[in-house]
Amino acid sequence: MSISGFLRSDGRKGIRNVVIVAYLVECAHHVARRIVDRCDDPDVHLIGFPGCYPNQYATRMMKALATHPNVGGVLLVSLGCESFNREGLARHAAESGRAVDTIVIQQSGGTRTAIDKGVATVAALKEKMAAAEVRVPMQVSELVVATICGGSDGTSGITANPAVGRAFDKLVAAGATCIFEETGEMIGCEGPMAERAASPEVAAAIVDSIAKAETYYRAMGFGSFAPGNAEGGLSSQEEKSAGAYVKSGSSPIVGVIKPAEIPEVPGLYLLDVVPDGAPKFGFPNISDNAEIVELMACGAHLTLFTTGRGSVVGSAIAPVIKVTGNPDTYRRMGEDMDVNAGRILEGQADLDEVGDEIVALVKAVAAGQLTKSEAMGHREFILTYKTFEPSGPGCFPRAGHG
Amino acid sequence: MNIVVDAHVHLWDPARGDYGWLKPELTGLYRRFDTQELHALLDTSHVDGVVLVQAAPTAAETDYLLGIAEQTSWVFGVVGWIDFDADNVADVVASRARHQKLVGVRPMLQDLDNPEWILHPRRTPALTALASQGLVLDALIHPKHIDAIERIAERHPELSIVVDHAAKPTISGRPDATWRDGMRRLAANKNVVCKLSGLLTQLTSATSTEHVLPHAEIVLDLFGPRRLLWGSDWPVLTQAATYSQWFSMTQRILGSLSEAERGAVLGGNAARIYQLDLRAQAPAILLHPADNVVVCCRAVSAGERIRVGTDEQIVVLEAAELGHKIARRPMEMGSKVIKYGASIGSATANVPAGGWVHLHNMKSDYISPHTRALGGEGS
Repeated sequence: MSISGFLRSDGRKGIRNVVIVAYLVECAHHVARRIVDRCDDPDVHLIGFPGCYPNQYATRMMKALATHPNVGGVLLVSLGCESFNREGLARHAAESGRAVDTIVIQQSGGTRTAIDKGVATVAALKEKMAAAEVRVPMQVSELVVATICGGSDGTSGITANPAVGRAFDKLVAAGATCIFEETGEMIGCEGPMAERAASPEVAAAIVDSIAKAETYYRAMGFGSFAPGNAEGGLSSQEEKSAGAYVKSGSSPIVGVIKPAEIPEVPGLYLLDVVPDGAPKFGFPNISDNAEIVELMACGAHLTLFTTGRGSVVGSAIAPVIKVTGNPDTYRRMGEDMDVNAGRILEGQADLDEVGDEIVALVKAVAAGQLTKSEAMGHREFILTYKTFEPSGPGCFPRAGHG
Repeated sequence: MNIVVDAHVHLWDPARGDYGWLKPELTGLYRRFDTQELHALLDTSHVDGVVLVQAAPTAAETDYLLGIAEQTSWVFGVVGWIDFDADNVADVVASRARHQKLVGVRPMLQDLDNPEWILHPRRTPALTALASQGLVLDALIHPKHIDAIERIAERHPELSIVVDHAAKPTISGRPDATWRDGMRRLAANKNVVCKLSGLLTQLTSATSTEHVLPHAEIVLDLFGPRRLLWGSDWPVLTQAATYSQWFSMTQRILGSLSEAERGAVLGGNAARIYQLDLRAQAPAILLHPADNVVVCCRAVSAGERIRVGTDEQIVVLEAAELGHKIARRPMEMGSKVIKYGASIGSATANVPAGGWVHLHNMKSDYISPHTRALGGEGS
């Protein structure tokens, strides 16, 4: 199965061609949602940022998402008086060749006219996108694949996560870019992880990111190793973390990135999702989708989501492939699960076989096959306040700098 | 995976009275065959377990087989029978599929006069239901049914089809060209696999066991080592050979394959195609070759054997729950506990192979970078 990508004028290639309808403050959320509902089009997705006060992270995130390779068109929905720089975002998206338009509710006569106008605007954007559409062959080496876990149980660390690790090894070997994350769940793995770093700078960045996560979670009052973990058979902090860390496979880690930093060369990356500076704005990620959104902002075309108990979520913009490690969950919730890694527990397959199955599915989804969550209309999205400093030099390789 | 599965055996009791074909004149077969007798044979040939296949066209017999399966850990699955013409066939299939060990369904096509019976639109709801419930269609057919099965495979690409006994070619000499061509067409469908079984009972008075080999080679060549399931068709087999004779003949047939490929034909493929739950036989897994612990896939009890690879066995010394660790080798106090190929802590006591590894005999070596920074730099 060959992948036919959507070529963007910035040179990136997408595996979907969606219009995002983005509210720029919670006050515009309803209008944006009604526009999407009225369009009733699986390729028109709702995203947005609810805050009224400015936040550099949110601005960077929205810019990265509006120019995501899977996005062909952008409709911004503004109330009018929020602080978000809508002109800057619109200009940024337009410069990347996306079809862009903006609706300002306060200038449109109110809710109903804004919705009507929005529906018509989406149709116009889709026409522009169709006229400008360029399909080109896309290689596995041009894919950016992310992974996260959620709703984990005792099976995740022994089936789904290592199977995704095998898939990551195969994808990285094929020249793809792969991203794993959640430093807060990898406390105790910084030693082995740093040994896999491609350079001393990256090794230092790995250790720093874990130390930051530990400080942050401690400040938030998170215990790291709970009695429930021990009941499930985990005997140490490093063992618990290894169960999450094993999703990364065994390739060298070429860089540590932060949200909305886009890898410039292929390889395996760690995404540092824990805010910089003194803890504020609460938990680093208030739900799994907040992490998926950050992975997308780093350019992920699709996300491998491992779950034990059975998450049902998908995502706006980039498809989510769900891999369950628990065979009972698969039996119970098969319609939501793309891959049954629980077969490993039951002796029907080994890690490599399930890893191969995941790679084959990544290719099929990149070639247009809908994931379970996509087909059922899951388009979750969440973005809130955070603080990040840009990554320092040496944290990840830049194109043309080896 | 190195579990050996006999993908095709029968257990019957003529006294149950619903077999139809099983008449007293079938001397040698017209008697009760039970788990005890079968288990002795499996033991001798080192076969780990079986898939029981229906022998009567009744729901009652399927209940009977599932009853045996519930009480027998080494019966990994049952291929039962359902009435394809029932008005509520989708509900029947869904209800059957809820049984953990019901893995497939077999209409007795070979006994039906019309080779195109299965093609009638009236049978479509049953086939669709099988596919959506992830149940296998076992095709008990003769060469004259091959065309129909080929069309079913094309119509229902999501349906997994197992051709029993290589479609039962009559082995009266060299392989029949029509049969070979039919098998080639079946093999062209990715959703069709074939059982390497039942061939010895297809010999005629003019042929001997050697004539089976070229037939077996053809199906191996056409379906390849990932789409061939080894089975015995015992006790029907006993009409032509003993269990261990067929088992050693199989080793000859598979002699040219790699160890992994042979493992696939002898069990891995059956596990995958029938989605067999093998945790009864494989209670723990090794996550990384360098690990000195294995992780339990289910609760294990003292005395159970855990097989690792082809020739390594661990005898469990203490009960442990799903997700818990069992020592693969003896560990000395102070040595590293290795899981995922990395250290997850140190043993705080000597742990024998088979011992449960947890908080009572291991500890974390982790010192947080946070603490290290405070302690080391004094800042």
